[in-house]
Formats: sequence, C-alpha cells, structure tokens
Amino acid sequence: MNRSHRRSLTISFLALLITALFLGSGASVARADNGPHGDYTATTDACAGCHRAHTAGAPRLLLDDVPNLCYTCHGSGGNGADTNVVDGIYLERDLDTEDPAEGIAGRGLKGGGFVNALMDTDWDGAATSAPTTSSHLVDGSTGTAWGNGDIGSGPGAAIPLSCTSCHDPHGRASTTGGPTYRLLRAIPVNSGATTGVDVEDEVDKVYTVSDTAQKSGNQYFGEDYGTQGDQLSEWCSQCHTRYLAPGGSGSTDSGDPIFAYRHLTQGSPSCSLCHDVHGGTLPTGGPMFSHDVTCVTCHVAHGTSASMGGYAENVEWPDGATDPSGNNRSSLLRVDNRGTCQLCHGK
Amino acid sequence: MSNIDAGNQVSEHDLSLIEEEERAEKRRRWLLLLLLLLLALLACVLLLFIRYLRQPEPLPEMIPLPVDVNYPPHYLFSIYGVDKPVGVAYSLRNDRIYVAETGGKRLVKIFDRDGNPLGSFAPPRTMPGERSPVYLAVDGAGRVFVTDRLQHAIFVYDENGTFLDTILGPDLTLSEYVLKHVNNLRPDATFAYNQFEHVVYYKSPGEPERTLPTPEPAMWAPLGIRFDRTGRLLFTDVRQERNAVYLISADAFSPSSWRNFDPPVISFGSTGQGDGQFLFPNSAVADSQGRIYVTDGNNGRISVWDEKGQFLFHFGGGSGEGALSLPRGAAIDERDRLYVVDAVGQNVKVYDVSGPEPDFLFAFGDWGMGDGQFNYPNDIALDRYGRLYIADRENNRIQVWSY
Repeated sequence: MNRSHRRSLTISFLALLITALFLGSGASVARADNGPHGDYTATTDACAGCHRAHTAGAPRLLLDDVPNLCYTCHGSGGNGADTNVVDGIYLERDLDTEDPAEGIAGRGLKGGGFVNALMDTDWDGAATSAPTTSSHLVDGSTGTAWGNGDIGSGPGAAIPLSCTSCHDPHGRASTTGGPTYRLLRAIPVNSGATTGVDVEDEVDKVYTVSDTAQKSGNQYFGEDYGTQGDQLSEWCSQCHTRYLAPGGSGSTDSGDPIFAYRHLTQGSPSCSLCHDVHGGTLPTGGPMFSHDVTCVTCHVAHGTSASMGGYAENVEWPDGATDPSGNNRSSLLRVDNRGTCQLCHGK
Repeated sequence: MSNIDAGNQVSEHDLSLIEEEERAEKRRRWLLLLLLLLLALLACVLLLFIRYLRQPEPLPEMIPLPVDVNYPPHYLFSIYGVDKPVGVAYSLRNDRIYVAETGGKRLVKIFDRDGNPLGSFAPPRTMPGERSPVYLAVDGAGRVFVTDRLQHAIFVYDENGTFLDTILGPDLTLSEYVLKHVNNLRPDATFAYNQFEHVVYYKSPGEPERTLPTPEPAMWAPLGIRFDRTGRLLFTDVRQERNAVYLISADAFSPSSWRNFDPPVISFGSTGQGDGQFLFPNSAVADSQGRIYVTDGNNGRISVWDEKGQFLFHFGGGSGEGALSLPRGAAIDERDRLYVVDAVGQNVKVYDVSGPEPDFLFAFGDWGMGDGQFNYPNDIALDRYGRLYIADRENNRIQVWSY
C-alpha cells in the first residue's frame, strides 16, 4: 500500500469516526440496546463489523446485503445473539440472573420467525416448530405493501423490504434520537411516511411470548403490548396506511374502493360489543385480554406458521388475485384459520 | 641435436594425446554421472506421478520448510451440497469431513477429502426447526461431537453418524440420566432427547417405547467445540450469566464414563468486555505449549490463556493489520499457526503464535461468490495433508484450500 493510499484510508477512517462521534453525541438518553447496536465509544471498531468505507458490497456502505449480515448473529446458530429470528426462538438460558428475565429459553419470540416459527397456532396447548406459512420478506426484494398510500390509490405501492427497512441497527432511532422498541425506525425506509412514529422502548425488555392464566406459552394470541400496542398500530400503518382504523370503521365507509370497511386496529371497540349495558354476562367464547385492539393483537411482525383451510385459504388478496392460496394466505396471523376472530368474538 | 629435438617432439605429441584421452574420460564420467542423476530424477518423478494417480492430493513436502517461511495457501476446489454451513471438522481417523448446516434440513453431512458425499445425520426425534448444529469436533476414536444451540446440548455420534449419546450438561449425559431412572436397562437400549417435546424416549429391543420427563435444564449454552492434541475437549459456553471456556479431560470420554459422567472440569472467563471476559466466544483451540486461544466473537479479538486457565493477554482487536471484525471458528496447525475465520471480515487471518507474542502473518480470501471468495465464512478445519476446509455460509459450500 503506498503513502497516498494510506493517507486516503486514514482520512476515511477519521471521517467515519467523526460521524460516529457526531451521531453518538446527539442525545444523552440511555442506549437502545447493547452489543453492536449503539453505545459506541470514540474509538469504537464496531463500524468495521458491518461497514466498509471504500469497499462496501451493498448500499449504506454495508459489507453485504441484509439479512445475511443480520443472520450472522441472529441466525439459527445463535453465534452472536440469543434472539434467533430465523426460527423465532429465544436461546438464552439464564433465568436466575435476569431480573426480570428477558425471555424464556426455548420459547417463541413475540415477532415469530422468518423461516420457522415455534407457535401453538392450533390452540391445543402444545407448541411445535414448523416452517412459516407467511412472513415479511426481508431479502431486499420488492413486494406490495398492502394499503400503502392515500385513499383511492389502489392496493398498495410496491416497495423493497429488508431488516433495516424497519430496524435501525445503530439504535437511537426515534424522531428525537432516543431509543425505540426493538430498534424500530421512526419512519420505515421507503414507506412514504414523513412524520414518523416513536414506539417507546421497553423499560424491561421481554422478547418471548407470555405464559398467562388465559394461555400457555407459545400461544401467540392474547399478548398484552401495553402502551406500545397503539403505537405499533400507528407505526405499522406508515407502510400499511389504509389499515389504520379507529373504532367504528367497520361500519363507516372510508371512501376507498378496496379498503372500504375495516376492522379497527387502534383504540377500543364499542363497550356494548362485549358488555351488556343492562348487566348481562361477559362473552364466554374466548379470552378478551385487552380493551385495546391493535395490529399486533392478531398479527405477528416477522412470520407465522399458522395454517389455513376452507374459506380462509381462498380469501382473495386486496388486488383481487387468488394466488397464492392455501397456507400462504395466513397473513402473519397468530392462530390457524380465523381463530383470531373467534378468540375475541366468541361466536 | 636434431635427434634430441625429434624425440622431444614425439614425447610432446604423446603427452598431448594422453591428456586429451584423460579429458575425454573425465567428460564421459561426468556425462555418465549426469545421466544417472537424470535417471534418478526421472524415477522420482515417475514415482510421484504414480502416487498422484492413485491418490490425487497435494504432494508431500520433500524438504521441510523452515518455520519463518510463511505464505498464504491457494484455493483448490469447493464442496457443494450443503445449506448454510457454519461448522466443519476433519477426522484424522478416516480422513472424513463433517459439516454442520444451519439451512435446509439442518443435517450434519459427511464427505471424503475429494468432496464426495458419504452420508448425513441429525439428532434422533427432532424436526429441522428444533435443531441447530453449529460447531463440531472429532476425537481420536472418530466420534463426532456436535453442539446444538436450540437443544442446548452436545450430541455424540460414531464416525458414520449413528447416534451414541447426548451431553446434557458439564456433568450429565442422556444415558446416565436414563439409567438413573430405569432399573435393569439393557445395554442395547436406545434413547433420544428433544427439549422441545419435554420428553426423553428410551426403548429396549422387543419392548414398546417408553418416555421420561426431561431433566432439569443445565445452566449452559455450549457453542464452540474442539479437541486439543492431548484429547482434552474444549468448548465455549455463551450463557449470559457467564461466557466461559470449559476443558474436560480425555478420560471423560472413555466408553465406561458415559454412564457415570462427572469429569473434572477446568473453566475460565466471564461475560463482558474487560480482560479475561468474553462476549459470545465461538471457538477455543490450544497450541503446542498448551496455551489456549479463544475467538472472542462480539469483542472482536482473540483472548489468550495459559493451560491452567489464567488469563494472559488478548490481541487482534482495534484496527490495523491483523485486526479482526467478528472472529468465529479457529484452528491451529503443527507449526503453531493460528487460523481465525473473520465472519464479516470475509477472510481467514493467520497468526504465528509459536513465540511469546503473536505475529500476524497474512490473510487470505475476500468477499464475493467466486472461487476463493467468501460470503460470511464461519469455521475452519485442517487436515494432515496441508489442506484447509472453510465453511462458506452464504455461498452454501465448503471451500478447500491447500499449501
């Protein structure tokens, strides 16, 4: 390497360093996460873990396209992380030292998995790991973001999607440079959104689905997302714009020829839907865990192994297409067929 | 006077003739010697050619190279038919290559040195989504030890992939657990374990299969695994409470020990970024002096310990020549050259660790999909013929390099 090359390299490295320092000094809030996802020091070498200043193989000076880069740590081997997003399983086994535990070893991650998912989708109390039937495609390929765009703009815009479309691996991704839930970007890349939605970071992170009185572990329906629930609905609808629907949208025409009447995805349903104002009994058909209904009440973010049959497997897509049908029509749902409807409505 | 002159003339002529004959004789001898040398050389070449035809491998070194002569290996060929391989091991016993896949059916696949497939295996009674073989090691008896991140266990197979036992914790094997709970278990009984089913299966020939509840999970998360030259097992533990390296003596793996598994264990290290701490240690290997080199994955460095588990120093962090990005699998050769696979550096970095201080020698490979290029390599194994086998994860192949 000659002197001029060395000089160029030094200048580039300093530029990267200054950028990292600049980004790192923007906020005094707690870091979003640890490891390579934020909390960089002035002399960090973390940049070189994923980026190359002059010899990058992918946009954003990344060494290679995601998800390959992400799977190097978050893959099924768990070589660098306990959150195995390929199988949707939490790998940690150290419950006695985590207070509270970040998750239960061997239990499903809240978002499901991209290749397999460990879910009790048939609601029989026993979870099995099975290949996903639907998932967000994060290989950078372009797909239709259903409902993306304004009223009357068709089924949705086609946008490319990868892990970093939704997650900011550097953390501090809120509109004010603060930490966010699961490193979610305020504005998903290519979503077309302009304002941004901050989903609050958890004080105590819990990565796995819960085991409650109403459901056993790995039964995905009935998760309580607390304050993040409504925020997540707003966040998802930055891509799936016309899916954001307040109470009453099921009986009010939105004016969109495709997404005319919509199930609510934000706020609470009308009280009288479940409660008899004259003192009747509560519905007994299924567990109603939260008064809030959000996107993540019924859907997971990464991928599901739910299977579809009968009507459910032949529901046409928003653009009218009927293919693919079958289990591919599981639409990230948390329960087989339309169990998510029944578990709330108890018809 | 004239007679005398004539006599002198004759004798000078005779002398010159004699000298010429001597020179010619000497020349003949030299030519003969040269011919013999050429014939010997030709015989050597013929012998090597015949040997190569019978066994097409790199030729053995005729003259041992001095230690200070180091040069990068060259790419030979690739073994395909593997899906996202992350672990690779070589068996000295039978010259086989074992590969752990994290894609597809997640099998351990067996190949010969030429890359011909010989078979595959997986933990019994597990589905692909319930197993995740990562790293492998082969002992002197040819047994294959496979760490499984999803099952939190080390599975043990014979050289052909027949399941033998499962190490469920530093002091518990599956056979030992079954024996403790089942009286009069026949020696030829079979058993299996799947932590996702929360059940242990066992079966004696001619009897129906029975089950036991799984044992209390051990507080461990085995990941990297290697045998050293003395037969000791070295493995890394990536549980959050205590990232550590464990050493188990070779006697622990005699056939009689499996059903009473409580070997003396040396362990060292803790979780963190300081001296003597690890963040996801992926591999531990020992040199000829007994020093142990740990690839400290998420800290991006190599941590060095003495044979008793005392921390010495670390190297390879930071920037500059020989600096590591994400060190994963490692191997060490008979000359104490340490090979470290840098997963996002997309190459293999080689250090001379024979002296008191490690010395960076060279790196080979770069990012890409062509011959000799890597796409997230993760592990390396060396054979006794000077070949190197590198698990090239996203290119779905094992690359074979040679000196």
